[in-house]
Amino acid sequence: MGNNLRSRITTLCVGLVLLTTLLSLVSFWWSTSKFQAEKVQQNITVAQSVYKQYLKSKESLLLTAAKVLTADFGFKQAVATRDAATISSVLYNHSQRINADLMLLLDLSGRLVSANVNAQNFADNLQPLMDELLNNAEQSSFVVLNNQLYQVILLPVKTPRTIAYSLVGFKITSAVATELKSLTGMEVSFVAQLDDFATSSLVSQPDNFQPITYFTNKTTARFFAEYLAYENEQIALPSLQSHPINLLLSADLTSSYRDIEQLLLTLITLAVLTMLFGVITSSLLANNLTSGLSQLVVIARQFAKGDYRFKFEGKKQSSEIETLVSAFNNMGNDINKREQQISFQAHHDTLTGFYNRSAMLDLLAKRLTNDARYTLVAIDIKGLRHINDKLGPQVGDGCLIAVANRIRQFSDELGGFHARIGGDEFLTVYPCAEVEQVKCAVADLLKQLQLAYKVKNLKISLRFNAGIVQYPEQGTKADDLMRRVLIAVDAATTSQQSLHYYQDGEDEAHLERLIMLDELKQAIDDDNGQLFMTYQPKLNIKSQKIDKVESLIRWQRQDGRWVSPEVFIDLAEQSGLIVELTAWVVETVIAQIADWSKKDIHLQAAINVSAQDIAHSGFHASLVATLNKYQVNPSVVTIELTERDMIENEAQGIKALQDLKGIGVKISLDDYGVGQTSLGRLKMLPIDELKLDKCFILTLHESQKDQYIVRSSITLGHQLGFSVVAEGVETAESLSMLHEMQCDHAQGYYLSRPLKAQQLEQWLEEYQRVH
Amino acid sequence: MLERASQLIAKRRFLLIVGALFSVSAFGNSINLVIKDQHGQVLPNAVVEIKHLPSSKVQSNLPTAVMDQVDKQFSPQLLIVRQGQYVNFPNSDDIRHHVYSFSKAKPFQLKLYSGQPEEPIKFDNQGVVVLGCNIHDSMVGYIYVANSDQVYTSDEQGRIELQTDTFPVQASVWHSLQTAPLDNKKLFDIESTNPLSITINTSTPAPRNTFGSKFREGNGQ
Repeated sequence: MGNNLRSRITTLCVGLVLLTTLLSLVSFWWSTSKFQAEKVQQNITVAQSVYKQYLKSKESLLLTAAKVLTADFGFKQAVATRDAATISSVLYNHSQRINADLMLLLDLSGRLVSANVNAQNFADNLQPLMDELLNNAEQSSFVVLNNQLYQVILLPVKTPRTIAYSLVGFKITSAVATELKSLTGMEVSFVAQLDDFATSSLVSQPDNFQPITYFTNKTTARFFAEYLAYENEQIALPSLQSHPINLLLSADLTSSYRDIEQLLLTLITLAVLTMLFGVITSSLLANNLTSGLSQLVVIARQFAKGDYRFKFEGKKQSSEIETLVSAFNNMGNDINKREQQISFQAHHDTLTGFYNRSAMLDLLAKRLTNDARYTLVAIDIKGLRHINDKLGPQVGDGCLIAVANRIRQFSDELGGFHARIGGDEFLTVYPCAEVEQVKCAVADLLKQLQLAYKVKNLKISLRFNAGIVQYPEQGTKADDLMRRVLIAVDAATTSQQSLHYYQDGEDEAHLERLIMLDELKQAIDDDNGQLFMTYQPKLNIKSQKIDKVESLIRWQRQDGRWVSPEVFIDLAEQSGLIVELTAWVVETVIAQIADWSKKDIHLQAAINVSAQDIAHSGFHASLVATLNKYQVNPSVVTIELTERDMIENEAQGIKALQDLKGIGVKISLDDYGVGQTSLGRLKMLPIDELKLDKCFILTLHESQKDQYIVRSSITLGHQLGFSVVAEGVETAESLSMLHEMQCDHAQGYYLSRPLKAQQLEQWLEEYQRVH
Repeated sequence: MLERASQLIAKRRFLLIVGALFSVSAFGNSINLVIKDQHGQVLPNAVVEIKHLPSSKVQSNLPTAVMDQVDKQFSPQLLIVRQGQYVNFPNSDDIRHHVYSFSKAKPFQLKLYSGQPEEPIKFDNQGVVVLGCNIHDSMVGYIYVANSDQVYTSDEQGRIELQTDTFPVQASVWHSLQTAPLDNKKLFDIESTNPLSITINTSTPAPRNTFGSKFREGNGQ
């Protein structure tokens, strides 16, 4: 039997039935046996009284007969005559009359006078017998005479004095026993053991039949064992003291055993039937119970596989199961709902309901078939960050939803699909056959998108960048297409165009940039000479001494190819690697300053940093730590920032610059004159130096306008308390003009191109030797 | 019961007087006898007879003795007569009796009768005659037929006073309850005038008329 519910229920039911049956069986057995035993006892008691009554009446009969005999005058007369022949005939006659089997006449001394039967068989002197019988006057006794059992009575013959005794008796034969048996319903035996005599009502007597031995030892084979066949009761009959005679009543137990067995058999049959019934009903019950459960198990497995169809088949179940079924149903529905929700959330953007990026990739992969043609348009909302910052994220979200709606409208019309693939980026994919159609459609889309939006009662105009990729011409895999469309939209963003059609090879360039970035990172980490610093000297025009240098980074890749600093710094800025790069630069330059200082070369070095560096919270602490490390005076370090970098995060940037200034570091404004720095802003910047852009200097000696700008800028710088540096000085004329214009420092190829530290030292020696 | 006992005593006294008459008139020497049973108890109504050899002749002028039947009892219960004497059996009860005897001395029967029977019966053989009534089993009576003229009966104290002039003289003693057969008479010699004590073995008489009780029992009464 297993541990399952069905077998448990069945076991329980069958066990209960079995227990009940066994108990009732045992109790029936016990009570019936007891009842039967009592019945037998009762029968024996009845039999006893019956036999007593029987013998008593027999005795009465005997007594009556004997009395009649002994009182008969003729008899008395005959006895008185002492004539043997007469007496004998009288005895015979009277024995016939009263139907007595035995009739003896004894004289007073016990001698046999005469008998109704052959007298020779009797002992001559019957005095002992007579004496004992006289003691039981007028009561019958059982005696064995002449090998026969008699019930006898001894009566005196009186004339009127006793002149003789008459012994009258009935023979106790098996017929008597049989008659008693018919009255009592029991086997009746008369046993005179000492006289070696027995007679019994038993019909089929075995050889050498001894009633007592037979009846007390006789067994009968029944169901389980051999049982005694008779219940015996031995009763002493009135008899001679020296010759006891017993009556043996033997109740036949066979029928009682049979009755019990019959009953037991019936009970067992009933029990087996009940048990069968119990097994069947309990298994039906268990089946009924477990069929529901096993169905639920199947349904639960189905749920586990994600199939939430709920179909419960079966007859009417118990209310508990019904509850369970309905709970299962609810659970299935709830899980299904939740799963759909989760699945939707996993595949969709919660704000707009569009597919998300990964779902879009999956969808694309499915839709990209051989005969299909698609146009992928990535759309980037320009300046959404500003809207979020200024009008709050709710307005930003509102804008996103509004934009999404227009995109949906557009793409639905064309039978396409769409996704939100970034914070402010959407992608729409629609089937499109011709290139002309594409352009037309995209232009139409942008036009629609650029119409003003009304969000939270605000009228907002948005501008967009769009990148376009064609399937299958420009890519066949979903992720390629996705990457290329993003490259296209990035290109649109960087190129300030609103539209950019992906050009073949852009992807590879992008890939190349990624590789380069990886190598740059490796170069910073390894610091194995791929990256190195060059220093371009700055001439102090007034003193005609070289007292400053601008440190410039150079990168020669492992394969020997040079990478333009604009390219890799731009790359570092875009990827955030600029912070690490600047840290490396700062460390290298300050170490160099310290080195030079030891060589008694005193140069102030300028380091170019980006807006990201200034914004980086660790920059300040890192700089201070490095200065301390190399024991370098902060005043020999100049931080150069372009105008553009200063404008971004203005307030924060100014604060950071002020902090830097606080530790004694000098601040220089690079590329002054080509950016958007207003004079108003200029006066607020915490700078020490203005660095005129080289575009004014390169052709200074040829352009009158440049001369005006430079002269006024120098004057302005001086007026505002800044020193002024001119870079891009390539001719002696330019230098002399700058000298004349009282510019503080000059830098350019006329003096020297950027040099490695060692070359610079040589150059300085050479320079000092010449000048 | 009391009434019956006093009647019995009265009858015995009458017998004693009869015996005394016989003895006093004939002889001079008196001898005292005491009759006892085997247990030493004195026995009344024992009969002692003096033997005379040769036996005296039967007298012919003997008076007719009477054995009455009163209240379903013989009266007297013991009657002593001389050989050849007649006994009348009047019936004083208002019921009939059937008096009989199977004794060798005188078997007879007087079939159912009342009042006076036709004629008295002559007892011409000596011996003991046991009387019974066929229809009243409880009735028993004795007639002692003596051939001697000297017959005595013991009184309540078992005493007998004999009169004799010759010694030794042979005597016999008899009692109705003796264990010896009823016809037997124990002989003894009287050799002097010294008082004698004579012992007779007796048996207790069986209670009479107990059949009825058994019948009643037998009949379930």
